[in-house]
Amino acid sequence: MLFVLPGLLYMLLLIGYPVIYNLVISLQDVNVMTIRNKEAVFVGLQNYRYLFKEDMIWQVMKQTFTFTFWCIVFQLSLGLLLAVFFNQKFRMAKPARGLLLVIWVVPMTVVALIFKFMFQTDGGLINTVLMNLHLISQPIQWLVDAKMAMISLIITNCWVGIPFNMILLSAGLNGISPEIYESASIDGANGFVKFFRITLPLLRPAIMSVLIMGVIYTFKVFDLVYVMTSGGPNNATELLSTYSYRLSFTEYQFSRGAAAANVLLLCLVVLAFLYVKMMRKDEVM
Amino acid sequence: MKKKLLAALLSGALAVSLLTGCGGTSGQEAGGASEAQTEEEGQASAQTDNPEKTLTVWHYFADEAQQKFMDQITQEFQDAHPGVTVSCVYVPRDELTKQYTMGAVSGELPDIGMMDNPEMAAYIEMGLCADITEYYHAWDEAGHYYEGPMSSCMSGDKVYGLPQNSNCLEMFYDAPVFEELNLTPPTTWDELLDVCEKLKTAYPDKYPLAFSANNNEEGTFQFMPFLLSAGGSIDKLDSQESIRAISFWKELVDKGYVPRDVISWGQTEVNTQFSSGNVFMQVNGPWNISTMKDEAPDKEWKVCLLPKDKEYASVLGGENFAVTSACKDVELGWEYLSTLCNGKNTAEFCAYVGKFAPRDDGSQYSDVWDKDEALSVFNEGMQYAMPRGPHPKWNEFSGTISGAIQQVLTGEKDPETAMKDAQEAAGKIMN
Repeated sequence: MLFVLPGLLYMLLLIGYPVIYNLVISLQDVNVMTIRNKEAVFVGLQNYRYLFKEDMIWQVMKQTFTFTFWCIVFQLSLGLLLAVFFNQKFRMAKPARGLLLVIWVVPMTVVALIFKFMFQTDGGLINTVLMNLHLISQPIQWLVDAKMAMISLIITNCWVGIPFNMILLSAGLNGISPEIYESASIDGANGFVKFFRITLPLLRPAIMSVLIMGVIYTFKVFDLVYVMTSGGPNNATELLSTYSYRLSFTEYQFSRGAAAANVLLLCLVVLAFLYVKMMRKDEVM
Repeated sequence: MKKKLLAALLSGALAVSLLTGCGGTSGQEAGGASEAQTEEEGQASAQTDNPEKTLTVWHYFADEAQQKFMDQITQEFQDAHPGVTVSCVYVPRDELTKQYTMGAVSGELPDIGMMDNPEMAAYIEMGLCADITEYYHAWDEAGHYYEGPMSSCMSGDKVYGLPQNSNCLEMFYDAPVFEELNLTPPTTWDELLDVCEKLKTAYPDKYPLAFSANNNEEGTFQFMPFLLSAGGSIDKLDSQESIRAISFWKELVDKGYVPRDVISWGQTEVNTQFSSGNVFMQVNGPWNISTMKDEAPDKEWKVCLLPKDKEYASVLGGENFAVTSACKDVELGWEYLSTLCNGKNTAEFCAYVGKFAPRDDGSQYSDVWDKDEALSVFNEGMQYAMPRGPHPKWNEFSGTISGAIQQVLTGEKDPETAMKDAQEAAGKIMN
């Protein structure tokens, strides 16, 4: 019982305190005009009501979920494919896998800037390549069109996320004993059967933890969006994190920003709750 | 208390890096609240060899030339005030804004801080700036300031800071291309359209003009001259004149004269596109001159006034300095402020880095604004430059304008609807 104390204290101080403080602010009226008053006015759920009355928060939530969903789908599936691929015993497999991890080391801001340049409509690398290959006849308006801007962000985030997913899944793959595959081969199983009947089920715990970590990381992505589109065009890529930041630090509406951050927190809590439930089910199995 | 904690952590990190930078000084005595401790450490790091009096100055001058000048002024101040140590710290602009905001809650602030002029009203309202009215009125140089920049340092008749530099927006153009096509710089919107058409015909794969229509303050800043020139105003975004201004931007983009990507370009990117020759004219400010001289020394460009619709117009940019409410010795803070911003230092700084003195005695100290070909154009434009605000809710308000610009340029809303909606939103903010 005593051993849990330092950890608990640490949690309370560094996680509990900000969370509660944020909650308190979101129930008060703190903005540029009122922040000087030492006694903030309690306004109940007014900030939340304001947010949900303005359609913005719904749009932002929808965009956050869309972004997260597609990022996870591609990151996880491509990450898994690459993990299985590099798990084959061929020359240079390990160095190549290591090289891919370099992507994960590049700071997000740098990645965002590079991709912003590459996604330029005129003279951007991606459009130039696509045009020269005659895959498209008109340059794609990557960061200008609302839909394409979201797709550009998803592509960039996946590019960063895939190696990370791959490494974690490779670790899981290494944990599967080669004997199982051997005996499956003797029983006449082909590659597909081996993948779906052996690899996937045995990799389930690894996939689950990668999934939940991926969801949380992706859900609260900030720097990528802030640098690449700053929420534009026309708020089409505004996510909960950037929206909350904008409210608090650009518009100085601290209470509303805090309320938006709490919406983000609530979404994550729900996701975490689902995760815990799924893990429990796993243990029972 | 997220902000407070974060502020404490960040300043702690800053203090640690400063300490190691100084070759390691002994820490303060243990005990006391963690926050108080970080504050003490922050100051201890600045006062390694002189424990008597210190001033911490935060600025976001990223340029080497500007930083050198700050150091020079600091040296001058230290020589005149023996026993006082001043530490000038460069903090990137976004970071600085965040620090001020958190400082409003935690009180973690430098003694002197640099502030962008449209933001200053919010900082004053948040209680970040010390009242220096008394000192200001007792100062013999008080009468020299221009009204526009000075108004951004005031709230009511109280003074909270001093303007240190000013700038405005005008138009850069690619001189060799203009010569080749025998074009003269446009002076009206119609001429601008005409020039654009000729440039587009001659170079279909390039763009005649670029401005920044970014989803933030930069978009509003760049739009202001067009809005004002058409006779519109920020109080009446839904007037015919205001709608005409945004329609003009839309026309430029729709005709392919301005790249659609401008809705994601900041002013730095606009300048990069101009220097690399993808764009032949750009709306931008004089701070780009030194960048272009460094990064594209072979580029031949000239500056002309922004073409007008009804009248010449521009927008006032620039920075102020203020003594913060965390400064324990406001008199000493004022001493520094009035040294930094005195006629000579202001003029020499501005002349050195290609900005403009926000006061009427600049030409006494330097003739660069008349002699330099590009700066003289900006100097002429300064008389038309209107300030943004000042209003504590300027940022929120500005967001509705840049938002409307984005809606119009992406085709989400037509100019009338977008501007009407913006006016309605603005009305709600200001009440």
